[in-house]
Amino acid sequence: MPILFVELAVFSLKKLLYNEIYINILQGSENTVIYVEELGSKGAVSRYEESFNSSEKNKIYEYISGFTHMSPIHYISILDPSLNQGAFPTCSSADITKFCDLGANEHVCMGKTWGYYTSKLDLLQLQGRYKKIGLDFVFSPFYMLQNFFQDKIKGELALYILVCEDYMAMCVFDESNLKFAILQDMQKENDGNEDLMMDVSDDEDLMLDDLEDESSVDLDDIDLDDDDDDDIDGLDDIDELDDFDSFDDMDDFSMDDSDEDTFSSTEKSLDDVIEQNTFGEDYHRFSLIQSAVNTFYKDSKYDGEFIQNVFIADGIGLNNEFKRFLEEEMFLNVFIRRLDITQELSDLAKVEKK
Amino acid sequence: MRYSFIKPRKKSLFTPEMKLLFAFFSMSLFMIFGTYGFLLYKDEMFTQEKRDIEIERASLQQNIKEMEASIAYIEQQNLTSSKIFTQNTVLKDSIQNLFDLVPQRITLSQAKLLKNGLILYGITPNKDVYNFMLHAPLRSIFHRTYSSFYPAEGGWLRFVSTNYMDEEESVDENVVENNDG
Repeated sequence: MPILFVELAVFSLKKLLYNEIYINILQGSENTVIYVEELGSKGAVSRYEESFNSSEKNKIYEYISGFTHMSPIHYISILDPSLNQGAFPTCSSADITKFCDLGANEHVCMGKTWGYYTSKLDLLQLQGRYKKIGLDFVFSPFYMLQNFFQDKIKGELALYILVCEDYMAMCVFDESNLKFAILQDMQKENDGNEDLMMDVSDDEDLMLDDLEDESSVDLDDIDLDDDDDDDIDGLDDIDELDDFDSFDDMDDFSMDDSDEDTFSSTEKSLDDVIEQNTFGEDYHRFSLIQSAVNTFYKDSKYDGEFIQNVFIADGIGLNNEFKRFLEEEMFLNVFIRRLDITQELSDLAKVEKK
Repeated sequence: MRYSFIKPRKKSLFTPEMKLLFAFFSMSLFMIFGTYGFLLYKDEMFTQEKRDIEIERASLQQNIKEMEASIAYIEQQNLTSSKIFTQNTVLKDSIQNLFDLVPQRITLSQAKLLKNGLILYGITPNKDVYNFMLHAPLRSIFHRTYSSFYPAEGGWLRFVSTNYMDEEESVDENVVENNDG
């Protein structure tokens, strides 16, 4: 009992003297977002967010150190950026080995039904990268996904996807039981986007062949200063995609000369490139999802039950086209829920530190 | 349940700033309590010293009383000795005078010196020598003088002369024996 009182007294003293600070890191290949929540003793919350180029390590350390020096009660959390991670639908040591090497991976079990893992080497590298400031929590995107869709996974079989900048974590849950999980790397597949799209079309006999042929362009070939619009003529169609409610409108699409007159050719090219880039990424994600679903259906390890519903935790801000692709090309019921990954990280850290 | 791949680091209250603060406060508290302890110690010491001095004072007062008593006794002794010395001197002078008083022809065999009298024993060749040469001076000194004779060998007379002074004083008998031989 006296120890309990002492702990309570120390806890109260900590609360009285210092604010709790939750520092959350979302590390991407290009940008790293730092989101900070400072909880005051009277419940007041201050929030700070800053985005850095991932290569600017010192700036990141400096920014975080500014908060860590404010209070010793700080927790630094990060969403595991490792691409060598996954989840397994069991928690029996004998069965886990079918999905990952226990010696090379760190794993966490969620009850007795499923668990997730990550590469020990990547984990050490991550801790090494943030050695100066230290890390308190490394959360798996699979855990975040499960936590985010807690209300949904109890239901019937569905595909759950966490969409991040660099990867997508996908799980198939059936009444809270994990059936299938995969982490799809956006960066790795980017270079071979075209090949992948070809593969997908081969596998699934997609009806997007025409779209790809007409609209997909290699971004490296685009010259922003080039006044010649020949190369991006086809993109004008894509520029207008957001204005349509469905692909059905594509039939009615035609070039509007009056719009072309409104903008300068350079501005238009830039907008077109951004749109094209977004479209390319969305399509790439779509392709990866298609590939994952295909694996689920075909791999003998999984009971390839038919997936009807897809719940997407949107951490980047997806376009409507993405949803439309999934719905029209894969005949899925798609539900997208916006997810602030850093905020979610902060919430996970708050629960975890208890 | 743990969901993170790593455990959080322990959060200690003892940041360098807090350590400095605690060190400062600890030092201050130590100095305050040290001073307080020192003052308590000194106070206790002073109280103890005061008690000792009180005891010593009582002892000295007792000694003073004893010494005063001793001084009074010694002074009394001194007075007594002075008195005795004076009396002895007087007695010595008296004896000297007595012997000076006795003529050559009379021989004293014994003398008793009383507080208020004198008894002399001796041999005289005859009564006349005694009466003229010894009895007369004795009568001038003493108020009452009695003499008795009885014969001795060779025609000499032994005598006893008893002399008193009429004074109301306690009788302290001092016997002085003087053997002329």
